Amino acid sequence: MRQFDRRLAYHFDWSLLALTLAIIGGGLATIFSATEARVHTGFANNPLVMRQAFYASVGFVGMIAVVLIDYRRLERYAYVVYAATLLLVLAVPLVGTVGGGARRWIDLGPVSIQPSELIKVSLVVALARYFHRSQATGDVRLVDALPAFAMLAVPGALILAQPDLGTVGVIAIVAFSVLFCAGLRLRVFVVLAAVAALAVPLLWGHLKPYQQQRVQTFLSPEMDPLGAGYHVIQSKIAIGSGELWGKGYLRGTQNKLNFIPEQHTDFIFSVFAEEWGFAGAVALLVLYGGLVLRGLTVAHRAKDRFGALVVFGVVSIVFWQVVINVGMTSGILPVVGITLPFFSYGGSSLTTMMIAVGLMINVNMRRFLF
Amino acid sequence: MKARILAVGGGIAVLLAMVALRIVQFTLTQSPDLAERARRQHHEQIHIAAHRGTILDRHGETLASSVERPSVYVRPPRLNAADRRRAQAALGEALGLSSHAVAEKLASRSNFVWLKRAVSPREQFAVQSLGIAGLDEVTEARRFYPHGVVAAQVIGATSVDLLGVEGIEQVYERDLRALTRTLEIERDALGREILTDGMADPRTLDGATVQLTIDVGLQTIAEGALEAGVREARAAAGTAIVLDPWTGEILALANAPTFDPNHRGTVPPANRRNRAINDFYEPGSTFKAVLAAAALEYGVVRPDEMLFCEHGAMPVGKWVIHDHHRHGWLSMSEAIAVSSNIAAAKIGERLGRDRFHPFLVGLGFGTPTGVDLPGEVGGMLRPVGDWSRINLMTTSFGQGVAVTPLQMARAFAAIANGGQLVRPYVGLRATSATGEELWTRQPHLVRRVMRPETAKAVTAMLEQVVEDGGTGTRAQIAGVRVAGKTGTSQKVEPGTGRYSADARVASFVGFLPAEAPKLVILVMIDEPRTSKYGGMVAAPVFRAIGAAALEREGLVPTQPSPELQQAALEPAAPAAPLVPLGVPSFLGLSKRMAVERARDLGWMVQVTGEGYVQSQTPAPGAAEAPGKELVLSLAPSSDLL
Repeated sequence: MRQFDRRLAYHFDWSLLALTLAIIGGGLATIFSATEARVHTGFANNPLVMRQAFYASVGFVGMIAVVLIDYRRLERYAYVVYAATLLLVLAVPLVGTVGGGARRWIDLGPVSIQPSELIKVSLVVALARYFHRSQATGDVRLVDALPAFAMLAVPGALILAQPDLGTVGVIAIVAFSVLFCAGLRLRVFVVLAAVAALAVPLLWGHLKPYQQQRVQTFLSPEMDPLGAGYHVIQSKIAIGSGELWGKGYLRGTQNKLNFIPEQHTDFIFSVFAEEWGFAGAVALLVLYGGLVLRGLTVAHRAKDRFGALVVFGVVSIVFWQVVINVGMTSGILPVVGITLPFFSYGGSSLTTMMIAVGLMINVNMRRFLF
Repeated sequence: MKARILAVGGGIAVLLAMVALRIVQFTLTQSPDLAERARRQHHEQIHIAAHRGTILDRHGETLASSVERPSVYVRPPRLNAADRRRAQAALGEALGLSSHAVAEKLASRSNFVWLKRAVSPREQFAVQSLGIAGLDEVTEARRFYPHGVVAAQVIGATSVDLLGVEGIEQVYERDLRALTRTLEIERDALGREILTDGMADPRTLDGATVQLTIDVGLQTIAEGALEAGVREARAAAGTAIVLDPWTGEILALANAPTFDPNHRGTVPPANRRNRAINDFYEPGSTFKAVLAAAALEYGVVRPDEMLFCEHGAMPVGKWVIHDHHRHGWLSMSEAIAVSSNIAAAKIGERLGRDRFHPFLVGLGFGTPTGVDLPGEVGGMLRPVGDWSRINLMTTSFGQGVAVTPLQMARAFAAIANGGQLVRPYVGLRATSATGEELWTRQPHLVRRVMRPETAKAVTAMLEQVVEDGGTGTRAQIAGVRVAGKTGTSQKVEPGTGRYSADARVASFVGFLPAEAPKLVILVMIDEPRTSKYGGMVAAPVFRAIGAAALEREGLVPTQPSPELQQAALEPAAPAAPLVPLGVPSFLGLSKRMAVERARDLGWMVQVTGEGYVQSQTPAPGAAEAPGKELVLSLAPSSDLL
């Protein structure tokens, strides 16, 4: 805050902010469409829209706060933040509340937070700090990366127990993205992939029946159209029936008649695609693509290894969640409870992701400072 | 590290492209199919089961109505595996279907399959109690004729899809027809119906109520009397018409044999014939009334003028005209009363074909009356140029001319009402389901066909027919003056065109009270076996109808009947109940009609339930007077059947 350099404002990345706000705005409008009854009561009377707008403002304040503090100063607190969020994750089994068959939330009176959303970003920051301080450069050996694996494994195991397989998957894939970017040897990835392939049959037995069913359903959704495959089929129908230009805002029949499951959270993309058609869906993907590519550019140009890894990690959170969510709603991937970042309803996710964007902006505008 | 970031950038581009391709696949390539799936899922057309209009008699009694029967259907795609097995196991027994038929229906890929239409309440309950989502019911309209056989040929019939195909149902199809409206509805994921556009008042879809001139009471009497007459005469068939001579309203139109329109399956077509308008016959001596009217109208003969009846046989060229009895000199009135063919022939000859023929045409013979019933024929009236002398003579006593019973009744109506030709009709008025009056038929006087004095003079002669010494004494009704004419004619054998040796048509046409006619009644008995004479087999039916009609209409007899005089002489006996008819029956009436009628009669009405009256307290016929409480218990119509 002290001696705030005018050059900082000059290098503020408006495009990242604009892309983010555009996606959030679209999300708010789509949440409205997905949750309104047939008789529209207006945005102000829609509690979910209002809550999401509230979280967006909280996220915006958090984002500005993060922008203002030099990210190198933040680096010092990386492990502290990671430990704090890890404690929250730890607390979930003790004080958490149950929703949708899993214990994922901590109820704080008026709001409830989902620590597994927070850990995504704090893990990225912690990993970035680890590899920033690590002497290993260019060619990171498995041994050097073991502490990083530990940082992933602890929250991963806790979240797996909630159970929240999808989030564990995202955290893992994000962590591996960071590891990849940090320079972990490619042969390590190959070996890990082989181990994973061998572990799948073993893990299969430990999956909950509903999880097993989701994977089976993914493999052949039409086997039981009224049962497990229902979500995917309905989602496909909704997206496809939007055709080129969509059915029009608030006019998605599959949405309004509740054929689309989890309309305002996991399957919000189907609602959007139904009402805005191919054009809208592609436009939304272009926004995400722009955000991701802009983020990669920031990472590429970042002045130091920490900044680059933080931005890269954050971008990979956005990217992987978009791919998994859209892949899931369009039947490419099995149904896992992954939200569409900035778009799906959910306060923890939105707030965390906005703070993550703040990190990107932060790194970008300080790339010319010494 | 920078290289790896770039590599990731490339990978991301590929993955995003893959996702985008998938979206392209759905929204562009597969979209017609997926959009159709979406539409099928939530979009549905419902055909509103509007009601075909009700047919009422002149007093508002229901003759034909639409009742709702449930039909059950299945939506095979909505059945899950367990329900499918349960449905397969239970439906066959519940609905009396073969297990193969059930399996076929359940296996259908269609979104909607009828399981069974018009099920009984028991079957309906059996299906409901399965509680399977995907099995559902819808109410469909069925035609119900509460009075069964009454006026069956007049009311007519509908096809299975409720289109009028006979009788009034056919003629007033446009009014009675229920509009089928297709509602576009949406169904949400739980199967709840959501109307997308506001639903119009369903009554606007219902058919109009058509009220007839028919009086169910009189109709029932006429049918009973006719059936008895046909049975006693061991005749093949018969018809009876009761006409209001002043307006042309058909109050009753009975046919024998007849049928119950509620059970139409095996009815022979002959029973569905409306002989009053679909058949014609040679009117025989009843036509002498027409001759008398023409002769008096043109002043070619006076009622008291003496005519020589040739002692029963009069040669005309190579023909000989016979009378049933030998008569010498008779006044014209007497000649009509005893039905002398020879006198009729002489009067006809005096009148001449150039006056008689136009008179017959003026009375509407040879052309349909224009009654609002389907299939009316016009009879046969030879062109005037074809009339030979013998034709003129035989036509004078009703041979060589063919008329429909309704034409004959109408001719007598003209005599009864002082000389006006009316157009008979059955449809009185139509009222839309929303209460708007669509049309009301006004009586139509076609033309004046004779002077009132002529009509009066003919009426006097026709009274003599019924008086002692005439041929129609069996038509006498105590306490009322009756005017009428008997008739017997040979039937023309189909094919040969010759008169049949033994097949006759016996008829009686008349009206009452003679001094102020209220009703024209025609009775025609086809091929009677006990007697061939109209005075023997048809006149008693006329009397039965006339007497009952008078009682019903509340006409004050012109003089006390012997029975009444006898009763008056009886010593003071315990008084009979003042309300001999007792409590009227409201059973089977709709709520509105029952309540209205009961209130009009002065009852304090209490109603329980919805639908149609199932029971009433006090019971029908109980000796209770209006002003007391009447409790009507209603239940849905399906229980009626």
